[in-house]
Parts: sequence; C-alpha cells; structure tokens
Amino acid sequence: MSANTAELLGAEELGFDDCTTPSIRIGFRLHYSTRQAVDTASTTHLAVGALQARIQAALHYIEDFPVSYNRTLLAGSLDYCIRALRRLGNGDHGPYKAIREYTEFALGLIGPYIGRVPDQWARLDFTLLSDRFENLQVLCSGGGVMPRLEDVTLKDIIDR
Amino acid sequence: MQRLLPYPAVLYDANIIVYYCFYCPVRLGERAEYLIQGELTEKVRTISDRLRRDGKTIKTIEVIMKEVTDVVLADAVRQRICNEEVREGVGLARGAQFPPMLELQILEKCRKSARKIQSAGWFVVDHYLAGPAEITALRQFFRNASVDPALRSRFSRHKRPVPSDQDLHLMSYSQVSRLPVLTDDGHFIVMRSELKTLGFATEIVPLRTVV
Repeated sequence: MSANTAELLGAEELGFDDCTTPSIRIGFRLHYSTRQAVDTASTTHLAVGALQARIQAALHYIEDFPVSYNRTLLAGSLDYCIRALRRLGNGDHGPYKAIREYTEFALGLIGPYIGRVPDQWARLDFTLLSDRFENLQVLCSGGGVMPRLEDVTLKDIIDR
Repeated sequence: MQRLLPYPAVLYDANIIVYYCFYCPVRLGERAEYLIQGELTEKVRTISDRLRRDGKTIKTIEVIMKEVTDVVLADAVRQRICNEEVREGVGLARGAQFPPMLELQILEKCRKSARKIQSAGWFVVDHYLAGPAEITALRQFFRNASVDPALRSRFSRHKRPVPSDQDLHLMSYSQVSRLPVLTDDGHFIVMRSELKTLGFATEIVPLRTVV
C-alpha cells in the first residue's frame, strides 16, 4: 500500500504503519470499513437523539401557545416526527433528512414567539407548514417508516 | 323548532357549526373504532336535517367560518379529549398524555367536515362585515348592559362582557338579512330579547330551546 493510500484510509489512526502483503491489506480494509460503519451508525444515533431532544423541548414550549389549529398542527406534526425517528433504521437517511428539515422549519416558527405569543399568532397562515408536513407524511409512509396521519391507529401509537 | 320555521334560512353561530362538524371515528386498531363527537353534535345534526328537509338554507358569514377553522374547532377538540370518558374510550391509561398526533388527526377530520359542508348546496357562507358604526353601537350596548344593575347578573363572571368581533358581525348580519341566529353562545343568549327589541338582531334562538 502506498503512503498516500494508507493516509487516505486512516491507517495511522488505526495503528498500521505499512500494509504491504495482500492479506494484511484485506484485513486492514475490513477493519477499517467495519469501524467506519460503526462510526456512521453512532453519529446518526447521536444526531437522532439530539433531534428528538430538541423536538421534546419545543413541544414543552408549545404548551404555552394559544389553543388553535396552528398550535395543534405544530404539536401534532412534531409528535409525528418523534415517533417516526424512533422507527427509523440506520439506513433510512432520506426520511431522517426530511424529518430534520421539517423540524428545523417548524422550530423556526416557534422560536421568535417563545415567552411572548401575540394574540394574532393563532391566525397566522401556516399553510406552508401544513403542505410540508403533508410531503413528509408521503415520504415516511412510502418508505414504510410511519403511516400517513389519517391512517394512523391508536395501536400504532401505543404499541411502539 | 317552531321559531325557526317562518324563515327561509337560519344563521349558525360558531359553536353550532363546531357541533355539526365534530364527528370523528378514531381507529383503535385494524377494525375497532371509537367515536369522538361533540356533546351536542347529534342534536345539531338532527335539527340541520329537519331544516334541510323543510327546504331551508343554513348560513353563516366568512369571519365566523374562519374563526371556526382557526380557533374554535381546536378548542372544542382540546376540551373533548380532556374528558375522562373519552380518554378511557380510546384506551389511554389514567394520567397519560393524549398523543398530540392523535389530537391533530381528530382536528384534521373535523376541519375536513367544515370544508365539506361549505361545498354543500344547503350551507352558504356569506361575505358580510358590519360597518364601524354598527360594531361600536353593539359594543357599547354590551358594555352598558354589563354594568346595568338590572342586567349584569345575567353575565358570566368568567367571560368578557363584550362578545368577539366575529359574533358582533353575525348579530348585525341577523338584523340586515332578517334571519334568526341559532346559537349556544352566552353572549347571544343572555341579551336575546334586548337585542331584538333594540333592533340589533332579528331573532336569537338558543339551541337548548329547540326540540
């Protein structure tokens, strides 16, 4: 293995100075790819956990918002996201990305109003949020992660 | 019911529309369902069916319909899911939080009913906004009544004495259109005879008086 290749694959980090024979090279590659997979999985796992924690915090704040369709939409859709995240497998990067993006968008609608919700907040037009939530449901149900909201049964919620 | 019959159409206030729309079977599993509905949904649907059979139109105004979809339906759903009987009905453990996702599912179904009736021929949503002079006069009437020694006992201590702007517009529309308002709202009911006598509304018919 050339020095450049070893550097590229992170040989030093793994404790290999030189991998000249084919068997060592294969062993190195296997070792490296396993470690890479574990790293990716744990990074995703940590990211999912962090996202769930952010959503939980947002749900807590939403409790103080005036009762309205907007509040129910925010709380209900974020609850959907948390449940979908729990069901995600390690390979579900598409739904994860979509959930993360939806969540960021929803949190952006909450942040400016924490602690000072104007009366008119309940009458703000949340059509865009509603449309994006619709798209998210299509993606999650298509990927087998979570049924669309209208198809969710109480069994789906309580069993999982 | 007799008081509604002389009119070609009946105006519904926000609560009556909410009762009509609040009918939501929740799927417990593959086959089992539990029906969550407003406490007076059945009554309002029966009255509405009779009015339709008699060839009456049911009406409201845009600002009331918007209030229903923005706020009042969500409030009704929230109150209903806090009911212990409903919580037991869907199988929630005592003290468990009602899942926000399920609350949204129920609300979306009710909003779907609200959209559906707006496309029905027997339900008409009129565009009407009372002028500033009419609104000011109605507000002043309620303020005066709430401090009048002979009338103030009729007002709830828990509600503001002056109705919402949406309700004021509906009262005014009742007068302009010469149509009665079917209502379950205390603001309309406590002052119904005075509103009629002073020409602020044509007729106020409390839901509980209709059989």
